[in-house]
Amino acid sequence: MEKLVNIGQSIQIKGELTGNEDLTIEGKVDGKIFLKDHNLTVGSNGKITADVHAKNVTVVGEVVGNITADDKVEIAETGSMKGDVVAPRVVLADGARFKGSIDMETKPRAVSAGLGSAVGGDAARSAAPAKGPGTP
Amino acid sequence: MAMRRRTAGDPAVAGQPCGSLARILARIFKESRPEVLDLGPLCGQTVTYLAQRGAVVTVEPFDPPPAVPAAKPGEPAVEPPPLRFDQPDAKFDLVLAWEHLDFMPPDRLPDFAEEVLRVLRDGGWLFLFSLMAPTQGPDRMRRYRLLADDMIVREATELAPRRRWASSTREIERALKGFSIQGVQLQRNQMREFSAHKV
Repeated sequence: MEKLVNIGQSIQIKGELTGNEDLTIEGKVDGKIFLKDHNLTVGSNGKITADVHAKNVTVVGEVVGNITADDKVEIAETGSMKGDVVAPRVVLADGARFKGSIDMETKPRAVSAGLGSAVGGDAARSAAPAKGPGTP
Repeated sequence: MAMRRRTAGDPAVAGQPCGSLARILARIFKESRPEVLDLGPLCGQTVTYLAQRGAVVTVEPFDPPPAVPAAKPGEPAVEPPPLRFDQPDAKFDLVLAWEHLDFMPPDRLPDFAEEVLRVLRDGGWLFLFSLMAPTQGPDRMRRYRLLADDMIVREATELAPRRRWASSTREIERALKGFSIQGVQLQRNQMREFSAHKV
């Protein structure tokens, strides 16, 4: 069974965050997030100010920054995002708050991420990231 | 990305026709990677529809400014707040203003048109809807769901109700200085469909 990592509501991280497993953020992250071939969920309490590169990104909380995904980005109805999205598949729920641009044609850019800091904080198990509906 | 364009003839498509928008889309998609500015209210399906066709779609939810109260006798006139999009000059091939003009005080229409001109490239397009006549009471701005290039659905939103000015066609044409109005089409639901070209 694949490990799931949860950054809890009371955790704040500043810096670069890289990993090889799915991650759910309910706390605050400022910096960069790089999860190659893995999924990032910004939970309903999550607030991130970061550029993100992951396979799939689901935003239920708040994101300020650019998101590049190799597969899909989903901004849920309760989600809020300010920044640009580059991904082959994008789902924007009608109630979502979004300011930025959507580019679904460009192949996601390779984003280099330093290996300085690993995922820190609360490593409690969490539910798997929500799977959203397909692109309309 | 290759994608089959749906048309109003498809049995699965139901909505109101929007021929002017279809003509604009046919023109801008002749260029590679057209830039589209959508002023909201956000409809995710519309944004992804255009992005899947190859456009880079920028969403900037725009809140029409309230009317500036008239100055009282002996007092200086109140300066209206600046009307500005958070976008660079001459970036966009198309601005989708949907119903924003209807909720704009008539004296701010020229400011709005000027700002759209600023962000449009030469030859760029403005597309909007406007109700034929003002509503009796406050009204909510609608959301537009693009089902096909020439087919759209007008949907209710939970936005706060506000005054719908619905300026006359003459007022709108006068305000759109710097544009060449390419078409004003009346829909069955009493909406006017405006398409204008930056000259």
